[in-house]
Amino acid sequence: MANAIKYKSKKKRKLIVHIILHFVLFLCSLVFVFPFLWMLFTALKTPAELLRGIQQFFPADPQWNNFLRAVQSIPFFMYLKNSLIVVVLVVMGTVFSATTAAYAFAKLRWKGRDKWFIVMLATMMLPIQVILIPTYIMYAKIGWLGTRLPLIVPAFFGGGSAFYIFLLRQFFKGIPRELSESAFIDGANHWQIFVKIMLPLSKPAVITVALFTFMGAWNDYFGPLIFLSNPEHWTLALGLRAFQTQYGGQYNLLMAASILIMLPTLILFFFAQKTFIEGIKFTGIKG
Amino acid sequence: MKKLTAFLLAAIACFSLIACQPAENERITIDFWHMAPVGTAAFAPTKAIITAFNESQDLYTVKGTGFSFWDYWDKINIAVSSQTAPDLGLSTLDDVASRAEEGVLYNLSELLAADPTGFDVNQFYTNQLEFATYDGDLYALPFTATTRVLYYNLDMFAAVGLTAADIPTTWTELYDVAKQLDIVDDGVIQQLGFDPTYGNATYHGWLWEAGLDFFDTAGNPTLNTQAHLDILNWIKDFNSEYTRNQLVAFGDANTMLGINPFASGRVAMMVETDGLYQTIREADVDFEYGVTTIPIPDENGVRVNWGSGFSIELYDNNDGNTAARQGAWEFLKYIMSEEVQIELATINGWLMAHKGAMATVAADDPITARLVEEVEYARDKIYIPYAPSWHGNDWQPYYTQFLAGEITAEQCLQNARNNYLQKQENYNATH
Repeated sequence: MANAIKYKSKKKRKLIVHIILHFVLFLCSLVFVFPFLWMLFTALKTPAELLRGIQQFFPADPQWNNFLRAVQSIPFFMYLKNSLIVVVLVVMGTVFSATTAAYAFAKLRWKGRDKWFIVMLATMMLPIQVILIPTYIMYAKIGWLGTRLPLIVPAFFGGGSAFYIFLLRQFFKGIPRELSESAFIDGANHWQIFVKIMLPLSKPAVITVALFTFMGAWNDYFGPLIFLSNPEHWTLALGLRAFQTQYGGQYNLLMAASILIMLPTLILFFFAQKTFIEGIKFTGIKG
Repeated sequence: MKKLTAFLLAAIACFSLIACQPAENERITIDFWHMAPVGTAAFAPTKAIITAFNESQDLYTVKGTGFSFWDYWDKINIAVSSQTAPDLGLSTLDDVASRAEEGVLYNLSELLAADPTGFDVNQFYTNQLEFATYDGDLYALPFTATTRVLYYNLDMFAAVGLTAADIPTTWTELYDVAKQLDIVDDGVIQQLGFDPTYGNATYHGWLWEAGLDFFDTAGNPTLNTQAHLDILNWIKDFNSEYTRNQLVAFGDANTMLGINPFASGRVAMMVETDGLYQTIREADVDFEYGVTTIPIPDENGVRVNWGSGFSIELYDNNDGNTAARQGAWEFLKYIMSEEVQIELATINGWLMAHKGAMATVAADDPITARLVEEVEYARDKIYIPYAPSWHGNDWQPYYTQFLAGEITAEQCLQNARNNYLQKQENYNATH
């Protein structure tokens, strides 16, 4: 009897702790959800409601057609196409260059390997502002300015992937050497070992790199701003600026378009949630 | 391998044939960067203006590229720094001298002297032309004019029994009227009559109204007089009945809105540029408002406001492209013509630099007329070679610290002055 009471009270206490924890988590989640709700409600407001700002948080008469207007006000689908071109190629390039470079740093023996690895890591310390002008001049000299090439080509040569190379190298190093050695004995070359053994075993790490590269390239604003001039090449992130004018802007349309732009990342998150979380656990990066 | 080589050779041959084809026309392409990107209301009319020029002659083709105002500065600064600037572009009028000194601008005086059409620069405001002049030569033309005025909300005036006759003209009147317009509810500021730090009200602007400045005529920093100190304290004491937290909370709420506090009906009077008029018109606000001269000190006040504006300039990329330069000059004359300036004023809501154009635009609009009147009293900030950003990066940290109550007025002015003196010493040592 006493045991039963004790058990019940323990269960009750556990439930209360559970409720409190969830309540705290709910409050914390509000902090993260609030900006999104603010975006959504702003997207649904009329210009007059926008002026009232926080005095009127909820739109009185939600303007769902703001989403349509946002898409029609700018060449949305042209920008979408441009974003996709850049993002797909950058993801491909980054995954290719980061995995191959990481394999070379992790599994191949060559002179100066560790020194070059440190040099490679040192590039992570350089802020973009430091290399901007020289890079810009270089692209101008080779006639790439105004094209998508400065955004895409560096990805195929490890540009901006130092962290991913480091990450994958650590992962590759954790894969037992015996696997590649037995493959060698069976007559495989490095490329075959890389493609048939290393990559399949590193799937979570490679997918993490791909996902984070996707998010980085999709949301990249600075690169397209600096290197693209022709509006026909603009990406979505850059095209959104049309809603912001010198003395104000159409914030409802800006938010509507921003929500649409967020959708691919949100969808990707829902589909690849498990990998995302694994990736965060594995890499320690939070996007 | 042979197939691959053959394919590559064929591709190269095809590419060469395409490349060698004569161009559709032999026009010289002129790059013009502006601030009306695709998607904005101003894009189509701006494009139409450019198209009209292209159709008017057969030597040049102007290729206009619009960037958002917020992106434009990064684009143009990087392009100028890397000598890949467009042939023609907009920039800020108050630092034309800085770019002229760096040698990145073409000397317009030379083009003017060689121009057979007798293009007359007296069509533009003299005070603005002075800012486009460096070492006696013109290096840009004023494109737009900016002026700062006091905006007032007549509905808020009426709510406390004030009328248009009560619109303040002096600092004392400004204070008296402002205090009647404050609304505080349960310790939270709901409406502020006026704040001398809001909008485009600046310390140097208030100094100018009292006949003072940051620098003497030789460019040496002043800021060390009692009058400088008094004005700085006047700014801080204006709303001293409220705590710092109250003012910060009110200011943060304005920031969160992302909309001008005057336009959103939270501030009854505010010093702002002519641009606010465009914002208010676009927002179609439901209150009655007007603009007037910024109030001046009760004694010895000077009617002056901080001007500035955009300049239009021809960039020298050091590539010896004189044909493009001439084309850019032709387009510049076209875009600065009265007819086009009227169009641009209508499209963008800007005050243009062309006096005749603005007289036409202001004819049916009393607020624009009032803004145009103030342009005559607009003064741009002086160019100080050793501290080009004297009013910005060089001053703001001290001013912010002072407003936050972290340092006294004396410390603020002393620290700022020491900073200018140090910069002056460094500059003199290296120039």
